Amino acid sequence: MKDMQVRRGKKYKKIIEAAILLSPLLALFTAGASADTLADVKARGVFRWGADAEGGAPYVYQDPKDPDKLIGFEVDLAQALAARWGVRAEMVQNNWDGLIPALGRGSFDFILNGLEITPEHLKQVAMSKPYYIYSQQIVTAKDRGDIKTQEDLKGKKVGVLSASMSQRILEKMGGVTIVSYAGNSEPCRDLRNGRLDASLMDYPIALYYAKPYAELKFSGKPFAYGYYGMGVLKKDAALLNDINLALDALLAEGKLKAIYKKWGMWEEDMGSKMKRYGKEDAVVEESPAAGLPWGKYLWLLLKSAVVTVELSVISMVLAVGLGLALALARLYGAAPLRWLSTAYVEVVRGTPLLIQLYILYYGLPNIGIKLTAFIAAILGLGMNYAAYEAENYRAGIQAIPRGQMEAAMSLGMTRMQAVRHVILPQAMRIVIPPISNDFIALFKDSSLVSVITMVELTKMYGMLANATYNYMGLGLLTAAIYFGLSYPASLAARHLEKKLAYDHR
Amino acid sequence: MIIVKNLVKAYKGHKVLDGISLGQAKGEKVVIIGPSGCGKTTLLRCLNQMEVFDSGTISVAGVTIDAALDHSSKAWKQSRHELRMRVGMVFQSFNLFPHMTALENITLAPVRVKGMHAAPARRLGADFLEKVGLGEKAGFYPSQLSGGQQQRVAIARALAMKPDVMLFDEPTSALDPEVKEDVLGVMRKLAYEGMTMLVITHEISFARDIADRVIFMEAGRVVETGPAKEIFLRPKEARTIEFLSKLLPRSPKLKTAVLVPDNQLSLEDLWD
Repeated sequence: MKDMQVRRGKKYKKIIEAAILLSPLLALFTAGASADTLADVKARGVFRWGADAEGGAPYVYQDPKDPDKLIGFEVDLAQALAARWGVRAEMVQNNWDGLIPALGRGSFDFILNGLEITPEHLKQVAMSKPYYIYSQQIVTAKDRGDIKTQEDLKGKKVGVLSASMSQRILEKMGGVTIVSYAGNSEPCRDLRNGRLDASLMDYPIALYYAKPYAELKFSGKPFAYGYYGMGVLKKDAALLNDINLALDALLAEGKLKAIYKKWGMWEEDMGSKMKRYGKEDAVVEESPAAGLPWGKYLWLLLKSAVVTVELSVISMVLAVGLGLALALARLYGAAPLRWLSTAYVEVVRGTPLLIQLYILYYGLPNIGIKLTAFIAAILGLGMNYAAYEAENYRAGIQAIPRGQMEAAMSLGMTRMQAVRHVILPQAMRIVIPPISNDFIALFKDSSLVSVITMVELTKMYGMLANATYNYMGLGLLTAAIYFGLSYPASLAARHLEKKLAYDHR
Repeated sequence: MIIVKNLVKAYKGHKVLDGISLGQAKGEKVVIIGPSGCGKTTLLRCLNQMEVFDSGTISVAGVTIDAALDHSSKAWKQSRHELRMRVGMVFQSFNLFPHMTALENITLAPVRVKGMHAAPARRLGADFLEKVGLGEKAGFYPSQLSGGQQQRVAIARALAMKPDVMLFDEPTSALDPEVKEDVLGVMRKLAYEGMTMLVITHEISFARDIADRVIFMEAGRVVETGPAKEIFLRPKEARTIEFLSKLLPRSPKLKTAVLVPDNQLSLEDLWD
């Protein structure tokens, strides 16, 4: 599965180290019944396994036909274990991030959720023999014949799940334009509409998310394999031994093969690979972003801050311009214009920016409009904020006394001349505080565009923090960069406000 | 110069102007008096087309607007614009543009409407500021000026468009008594120079001094019209008498004038 567990495991290393220091105390709470979980399981007649069913297809997830029911190959595996031991299996839902600490707290008896067997994990928990061998699969459009191997990905635009093993492998290889997505369905969508040359994903994920589409195909053989194992507390040697015995038996009896065949995940050499476990190394990539000097992180963050600034400034210019046009149309336009402008403001204000971004980026290709991520981001942010700016302008214009328009028109000026020379200059001063406020809000909202693959400041922070586990330090650094950029902006707004003031008393 | 025929203007069925007809010669100074709500401000607003009227015609300096004309037509818009170019308007609340200096207030319309160049417009503006006695206030913003000074800038602003007629809508009612006289002084000067003026005011002594004719309006109609001497000293209509006696109870001579039909007072006797 995703190697998030690799990273997340590390994140909790410190917590676990602390737990070890406190273990005499912790023992009072956790192991109240007995020192051996296996004995507990047998006494209870039920074992509890920890996993995260959210977005967990095809591992553990809610049956689309019956959302009360969990399905997935890990559910089948848990049931096979239960049958073998003559007890019941009970899944305990827990966030991925927290699976290892939760195991330490005794929330469940072991972890069964795509946890890779890696040196990092082995430092924190004991791990069973592999129950599945995962690998990387290249997915392309059906008519693409030029991409078959990992090497072929060089110079191509390749979609990956953010911070996944797939991403790590491509980063390590270099020379690939990596587009990272927050979910698994988005890269498949962009493959179908031609924004990507290929996508690299864990084989089970590819089976579930890419296989159903006739326009997509698996290109070449899976490569870079690794092991999923079950995570057990280090003290539970007896439980670990029982799990290993059970896995050996399930493999020998062909039950494991049956489960994976059912899910379409079986590969012919999987059995022999499992037997060779421990004799050869699997591919376990660390992020190349881990362990760099601080100056390098700062540099990467600042570079992505430039994207954030570009996005915010260009979309704000669009918002301010379009907003003014909308406000003028609403206040001074003919009836259809007034109606259109009002409808625009209400609809755009009344729907989430996130959905607007999705429609612009993933929805429009359905009708033949394929925007780049940058253009879609600018349009999404700009058109969304235009609705708010239109209301700011409207309030500002309506705050100007009616006598001003009358005085201007009595001097022979047309309505538009009066608006331009008399009304707007006065309204501007009123709207500058709310508009600069909106600019600072937009500056921070720009992080939403990471959902359409833009790598801006927040996204870069997320990627670096995931790779280094330094959520605190990098978080403070990123926040400082945001503040360092937005504070001068608000100072400039205040200065402009003063400059436009005409109450000189 | 001004001809109004059967002017009718109604708000939601209530006739604010109920068949007004009047004429004003070039150079003539006319003062309109009347209780609030009598329609005098609406009449003025119709004269520079701040208000659209329902029937009748107005004609100012040869530009005629007929209520029957199609209000969306180009011809109507054109004559409305021409009318406004010939009519200068001074408002009770000054309506100076607060984001511009006194000088910029004056030069805006000559530059934007008449296409005047900036330099001659500034000279023109300075001249008119001088004329209203504010030559040294050119760079001041309205907020830095007193009410009386603001109103004088507003008069200069209207004059700079070289109108044929000046309309004043209670130009001193928003002012403190001590600065009223500055504004009235400017208006007097304008009157002596021969400007055609139509003034709504409660300043009877001012009316007495400059008005060739006084119109008393009530309930959207002209009740009585005549030279200042007749209206103030020998009003005929009971409603005029009632209004005048209410307006200035502080002047015993006015009471005499209004209540004693054959009094021997002259205009100069009033309010001095």
